[in-house]
Amino acid sequence: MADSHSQLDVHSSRRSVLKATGLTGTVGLAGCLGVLGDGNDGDVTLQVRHMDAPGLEDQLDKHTADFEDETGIAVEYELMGWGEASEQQMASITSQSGPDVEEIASSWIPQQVEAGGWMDMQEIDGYQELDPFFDPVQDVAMYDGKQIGVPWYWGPRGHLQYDPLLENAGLDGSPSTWDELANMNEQFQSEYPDKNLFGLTGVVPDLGHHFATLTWQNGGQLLSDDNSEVTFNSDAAVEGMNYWASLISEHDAIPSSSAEWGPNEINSAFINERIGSLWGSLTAVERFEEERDDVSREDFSIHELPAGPNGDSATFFGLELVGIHPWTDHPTEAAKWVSYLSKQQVNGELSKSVGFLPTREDSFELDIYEGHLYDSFQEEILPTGKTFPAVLGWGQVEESINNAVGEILTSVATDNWDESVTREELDDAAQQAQNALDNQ
Amino acid sequence: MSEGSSDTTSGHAVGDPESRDTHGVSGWIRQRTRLTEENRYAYKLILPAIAMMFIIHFVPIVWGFAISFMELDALYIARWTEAPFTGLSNYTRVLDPATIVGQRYWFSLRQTLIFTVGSVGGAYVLGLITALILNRGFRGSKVARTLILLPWISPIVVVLLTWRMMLLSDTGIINHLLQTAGIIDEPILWLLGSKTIISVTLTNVWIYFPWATIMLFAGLKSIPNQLYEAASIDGAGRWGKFRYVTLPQLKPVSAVVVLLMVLWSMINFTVPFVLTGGGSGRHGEVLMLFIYNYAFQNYEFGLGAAMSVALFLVAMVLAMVYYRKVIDDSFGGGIGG
Repeated sequence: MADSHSQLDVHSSRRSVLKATGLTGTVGLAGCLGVLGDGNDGDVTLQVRHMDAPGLEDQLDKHTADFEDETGIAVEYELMGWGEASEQQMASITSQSGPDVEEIASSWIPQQVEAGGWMDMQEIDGYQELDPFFDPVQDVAMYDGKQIGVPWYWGPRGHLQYDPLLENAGLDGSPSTWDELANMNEQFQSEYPDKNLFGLTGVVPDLGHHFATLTWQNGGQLLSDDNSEVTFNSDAAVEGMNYWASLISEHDAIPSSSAEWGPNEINSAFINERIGSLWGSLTAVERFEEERDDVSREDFSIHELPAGPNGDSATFFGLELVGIHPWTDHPTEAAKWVSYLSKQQVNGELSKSVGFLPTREDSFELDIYEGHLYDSFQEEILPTGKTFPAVLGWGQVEESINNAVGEILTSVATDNWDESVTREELDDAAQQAQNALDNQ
Repeated sequence: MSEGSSDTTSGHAVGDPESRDTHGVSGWIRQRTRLTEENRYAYKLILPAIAMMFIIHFVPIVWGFAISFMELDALYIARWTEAPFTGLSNYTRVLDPATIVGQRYWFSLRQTLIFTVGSVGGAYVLGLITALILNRGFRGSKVARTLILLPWISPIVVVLLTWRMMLLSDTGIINHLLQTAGIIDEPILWLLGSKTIISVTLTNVWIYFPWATIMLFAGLKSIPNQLYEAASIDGAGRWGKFRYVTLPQLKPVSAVVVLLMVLWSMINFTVPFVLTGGGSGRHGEVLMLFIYNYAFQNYEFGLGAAMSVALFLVAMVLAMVYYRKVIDDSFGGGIGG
């Protein structure tokens, strides 16, 4: 009995050794093949991740296939919703694992770069340089001397008008100054007493975008040049905010209910002709065209935004870039994919499919960008584009601005506003923001 | 049948002196040992579940507690082991009303308490009234019971966006109805200023009251009819029966309903977030929304964890007090008792 046990033990231990050897061999061989595969483009499959947008999936299907035909590098893509994008990217950065190439939202750049989330593309052979892109977006792609990505598409806002409504009120052209906007509203309301010439959204994140736009239009800045001092409570910024408030409370150019409006509500007001103009992207025109059979693109015009008394026209833009994560095993192949996305045709097609504008200047030469609205964007609006400073702690600064502007608008809408409210709220917010910057 | 089985089926509890008398001390020890082995086997069976619970619940809680003492921000998130230990500084910043974060934290806590008390009170009262009506068994009550669940089972974001549309001051149906009925002259800004928290709370009541209804309805069904008959014999009227029979009999289920609704309301994020369109001011900002907006959007994980731990402690203290005062009384020594 004892012998048979020991024989069994011997057999089972031999089997165990054989199993272990087989397993080790298989894993080792697979590992070797994997290593060999790294050196061969044909065997590389890149993992990429993008924010979801209508039409993007079809475009990515087409372009990943074209890219594979061209280079032999396969690309598998994953789409994520905007709502979970921040958390998903942070999870990847924390674990230093995930896709090789990914979309970058410009406002998250400082935190994600500091957290080690993006490669300096200049370190990769054959990286895509920034020359073909518009100047404002080139600056955003650089952070702390590193090129953290390639600009992909952007969404500067234009002063968008539904012309038939304005023409009926005897108005021609667009306001080039703040005063003109208020004056045009007077004439507009003499024809349409129940309507308003203009509308602005009143929810996060637009609050900060509009506030920044007005500040820049009046020659102000949100932070000092070296990004160390908060300046969004300067006289220029306070005057900009007061102008916004006066458009509601004094001139009735903006409805007071706009303080509750998000993108859906302002689009609804525009489509239903309760307002005649807004600051927005082409998406607003597309929504209008979808909802109303009686309009054509010719009924709309887009102009540069008005200038304040102390500054020039300026508009806010958000930018999407494409970058490479440092944990990738295939930086060269990833750089090829990023360069492919940056081609004139590809950049143009993909930007168009997501409803934004291409970041390459020559993409506007493509047939798909023909038309007076695109011309206006390219010639008038894009050169005036500005965006938030890229500085660690900006999120808290922006949160302070949003909070203050939300409170000011609430007091305007509820008839509790005077100019001292603006000053007080912005000073408090500036103190809070300065603390946040100092703590970085 | 084994000895042990025989003992178990005889109804003698383990360690029962009668068992000891019957089998002697050695038998009792054997029985203890045998049952301990059974227990050990039972523990082995539930070990995978305990391990999962440990990983899913306990580890994140401990982790969250640990990082609340660290300066874990964007700089350190990918190398968290190097994050500086900052002691109580995150808590000092959060809990000190003199700091800006602290000032906003306390304001959000106040909004959270308004939201919680309003939601729980509203949903409970509305749920109780609805349950009492359903319990009367009118024609079509089964259909009504199903329909009443609609707010609870509908996709919450759809419900909230619909409420947002209804509450908008210029185009919303609520102001339109109030103006048509002559109750108000000017539209009310439901989603701005101090009214925001009222709108958020009322919407939450609407979402939660069906759940309270079903729970209380089940409680009502379990009340023996004899109690009402006895009350009638004693001369109790409708109010008397409700006051002295229904309410006391509902106490156990009410205790659970209220406890769960308090906890759910305190950590509610979706309702204020969607209804306010992501936030148009601080008035609709309950603590979960504030923590998300302030800390996690800015990668201030240490600070966010401190805020969450502080909220957790508030919720825990409330739950403990509530447990001691209400649940223990209702269940005679706890739910298990």
